[in-house]
Amino acid sequence: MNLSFPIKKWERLLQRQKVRDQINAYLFLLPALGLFALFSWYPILKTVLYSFQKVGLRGPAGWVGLNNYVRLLGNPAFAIAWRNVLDFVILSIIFGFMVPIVLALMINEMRRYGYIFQVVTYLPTLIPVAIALLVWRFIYAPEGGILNSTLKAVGLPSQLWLQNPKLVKFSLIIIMTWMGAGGSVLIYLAALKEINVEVYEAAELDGFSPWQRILYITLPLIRTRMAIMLVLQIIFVSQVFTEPFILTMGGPGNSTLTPVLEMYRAAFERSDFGLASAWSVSLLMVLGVFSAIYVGLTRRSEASRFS
Amino acid sequence: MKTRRFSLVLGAVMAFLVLVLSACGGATPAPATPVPVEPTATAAPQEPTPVPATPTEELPIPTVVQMPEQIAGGRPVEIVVAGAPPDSQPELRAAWDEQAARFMALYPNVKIVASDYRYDPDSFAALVAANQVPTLFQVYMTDPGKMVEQGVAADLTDYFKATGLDKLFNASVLNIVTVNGKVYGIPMKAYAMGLAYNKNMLAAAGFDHPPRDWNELASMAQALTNRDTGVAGFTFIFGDPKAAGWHTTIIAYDFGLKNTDIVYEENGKYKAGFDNEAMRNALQMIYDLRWKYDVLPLEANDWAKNGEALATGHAAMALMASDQFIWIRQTFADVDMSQFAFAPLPAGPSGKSVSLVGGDVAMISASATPDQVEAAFYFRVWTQLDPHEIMARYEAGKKDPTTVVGGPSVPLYTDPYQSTYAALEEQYSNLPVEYSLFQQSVVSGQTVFMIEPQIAGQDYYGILGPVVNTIVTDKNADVARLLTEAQNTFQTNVLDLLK
Amino acid sequence: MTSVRGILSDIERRSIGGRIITSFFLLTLVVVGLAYIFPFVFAFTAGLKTSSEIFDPGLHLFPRQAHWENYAEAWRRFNMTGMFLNTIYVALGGTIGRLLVSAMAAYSLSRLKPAGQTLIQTLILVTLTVPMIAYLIPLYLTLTNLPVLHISLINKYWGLWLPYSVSAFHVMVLKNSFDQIPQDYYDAAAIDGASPLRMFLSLTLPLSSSILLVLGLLTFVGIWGDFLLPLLILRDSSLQTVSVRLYTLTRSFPMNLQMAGAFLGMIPPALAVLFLQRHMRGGLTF
Repeated sequence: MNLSFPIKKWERLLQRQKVRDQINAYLFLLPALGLFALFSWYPILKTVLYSFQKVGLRGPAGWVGLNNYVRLLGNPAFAIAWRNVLDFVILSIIFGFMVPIVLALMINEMRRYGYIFQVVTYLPTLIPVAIALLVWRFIYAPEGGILNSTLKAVGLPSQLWLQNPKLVKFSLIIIMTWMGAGGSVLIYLAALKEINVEVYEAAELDGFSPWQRILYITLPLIRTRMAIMLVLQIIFVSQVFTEPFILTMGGPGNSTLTPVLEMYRAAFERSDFGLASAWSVSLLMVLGVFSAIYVGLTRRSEASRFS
Repeated sequence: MKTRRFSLVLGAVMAFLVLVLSACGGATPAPATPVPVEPTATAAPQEPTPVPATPTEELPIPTVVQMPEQIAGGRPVEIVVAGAPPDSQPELRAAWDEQAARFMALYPNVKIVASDYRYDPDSFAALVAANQVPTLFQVYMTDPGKMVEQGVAADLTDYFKATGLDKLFNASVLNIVTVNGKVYGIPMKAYAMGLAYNKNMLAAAGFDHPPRDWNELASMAQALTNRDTGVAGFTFIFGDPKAAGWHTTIIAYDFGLKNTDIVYEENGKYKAGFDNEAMRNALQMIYDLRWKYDVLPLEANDWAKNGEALATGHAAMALMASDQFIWIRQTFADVDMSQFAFAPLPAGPSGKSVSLVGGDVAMISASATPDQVEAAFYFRVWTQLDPHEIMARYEAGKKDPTTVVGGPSVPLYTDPYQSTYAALEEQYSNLPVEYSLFQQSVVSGQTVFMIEPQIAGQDYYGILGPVVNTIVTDKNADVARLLTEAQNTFQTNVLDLLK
Repeated sequence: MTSVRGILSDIERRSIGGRIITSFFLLTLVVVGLAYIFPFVFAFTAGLKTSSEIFDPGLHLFPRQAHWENYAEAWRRFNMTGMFLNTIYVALGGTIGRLLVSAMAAYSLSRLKPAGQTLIQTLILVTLTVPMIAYLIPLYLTLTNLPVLHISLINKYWGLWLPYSVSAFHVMVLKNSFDQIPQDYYDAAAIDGASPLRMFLSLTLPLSSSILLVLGLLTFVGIWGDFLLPLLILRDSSLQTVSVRLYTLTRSFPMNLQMAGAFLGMIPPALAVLFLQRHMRGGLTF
């Protein structure tokens, strides 16, 4: 009986502390929540609503129920676009994911010149996209392009980098890796630099080879950084638009058609915003499920860390 | 700024003098003529582009429009006018500001706000949604029809009738902006589709005339193609789906397709019918051009790349719109334009060649008030048709290196005004592209103008485009099957679900 | 803090195996570096060519005749100084806003464990799944007329700073970074009686300085090149940014002038990158 009173008091104190903690937590979240609500969630919600309406340049003009979705799913372009996205994502993981990591590792080893390479990998992001793609157009040009000229010089047959349906996605992924690597390199470098070098010294003393050090120390330590970058990469690659839009225009023959490209065309070429919104909703759903899975997984791993 | 204020003061002085003169029993200026320009008042040394001192009667071009005495009954009106040159072109902008000032002097209750906004689909959609479209704006190429369809352009029929402009403009040009008998825009410039080619290249290969039919085009293109130097004999748009569908349709028109074939009505429902012999022949010709004769460029192209190929000497002949020469001249300033010429498209099996008409159109926002519509309409008409303003524009253009005048075009107006106008334009033309063949063909009726598909046109182009792209990139493409599939998709996914 | 080293120690680097590895790295980086620099150089030399020369097939990096006057012309028509200041203003404000908002949110999600955390994270991540162009129109409508407050953000820099402050990418990356900070540091600070705010300012932010710097740089450069939103929001040409100017320039000017102008527009962010990279040196800094 003597114990119950202090326990209740503790309980109450704890409750008050919990509430205070929650208030603090939400205070820090407040600006983000407010801005997200105004400039992301609300517009996205409106877009979802549009997908059930007939929307022209002058705005919504009546509800059409599922008509936009019937048109969306009945169009063979829908299946084609999403299949293309799958190909793009897989290619980007094989050819694009490890590149920034490898570059970051190499740059981190350069004592004196690392700084130069850091800057250099970041240059592509400074170039206006239209010009960067113009340069790549010259690199990939079927007659007299830089790649083909080099191939011819060494006796290899020239390739139709952007005109061969089997090659075109790969060619575009190279461009996307080239453009996106710089930022990722910097983000990985920041993570690498946070690793306490004493760990390496200890490992060296224990006789680990450099390769083993990378495998067993570095990579595990940046594991969560890699995970989030992978998720973000998948999400961004799924929304690929600029390269197909400017370089291949969805071709050859629909092999680089993507959901965002179709969405853009529906909205800004045909002024069919209802259909465009339906496309957006398809993106929302596919990638949304994916994001939810990711958040759930990290939550679980976090919880296990503290248990 | 000094010159602008001076113009205003000048205008005020002029207006005052007119009032005084008219009050003194002199004849009030007839509504037919704009406010008469006092020769002494305009001899102002500070104005870089003075309103010409010659009286209207002595100008090389007549007045065809009666400007009203008052706009909007004298009530204050403010309009936003898009298309003012940005300040990267200061000379042009100064001229534009002065012109606006002259108009405001004529009608002191009207305020003109300049906007250097130029139409582009993404931002335009946002502006419409937020009701912030400039009162007077300009639309290009194939988009005027879309504007009307979407209801963003104001109905100007009454104004056209009141000023007689419905008779002044060429009917096929006015057609672009007319729906159900109502006119929704003021055509500024008209273009037609045809065959642009490089005279020098043709001469070097031993040809003294452009191809007269498609078989001749194929064989000529073969002789002109040189893969080692990167020259394609013939190019048309097959990359960008919408433009590809558009160009292919033009070719198909040449082969006998009619726009009523594409979509027609049957028992109250829309039916697609472009899977016919004419279209198949056209697609087969395209297939042959690529795989049998090998004359097409290899890279996927759009409107810009298509013109660029001709401009940079990477294509000898191109299916092109006549006004793209202006774009070429501006974007490739160092190219010698006299090497180019414009001819009608090769004739199809009917022996006639086909062309489409399009235009740049000035439109007025549908959400403008009636006063604003009136002010914007008369401002546009005044800048386009007032003799002094026409001369001022030519004079200002002479000083600006980016202004291009002339080149092949479709008659914008009807005769007799058209002849005078064309002669004047010829004097100031700085685009030495030869297009006599095209003109003759139009005049003789050898070239027939057709109109674009009117129902679900954009969707139709979007579905036809990838078909052409596949034909051009896949040697094993089954032309007939692709076409049938495309028509089925168009029928079930677009026409049947049309609401 | 011991000496700066990577995976390989100084001694190892001097060994034969070490030399091979470092040489290999250097070679790879040089080759990759060239591939990266090439387009930059191309953009520069394109500005010196004639317009049709740019499209000549083959690798002609250097113009037949250098037309330096193209750069002078582009500079003159461009009114660079004013535009640069505007753009710096916009980009700086947007960067600060984004870092601040994202860092606070990441801190809360990482440390303070708000209720409904999973839901909030998912909602934030979900905004990444749809590109901005998909909801451009409703977004623009919101900016012209903010709900509740009913003010218009058109023609004001806040109309750019506020939407730019929204970035799910930054929130997630920062959260991931904050998660790495050991709980012990916080516990120690708690014992010292530090408030959550104090911990945020004196602990979390300084420890994450390198990632913050990186993200800040990425944001700055990204905003510098953004043109759709400034095109819509900033009406007065006196407020306009460089990228929008470039866009209007491309309308009626020859190709070579366009390239020259574009290259000039790249210089300030390039300089920013060069200078800020110097600071990305150490790891944990206090």
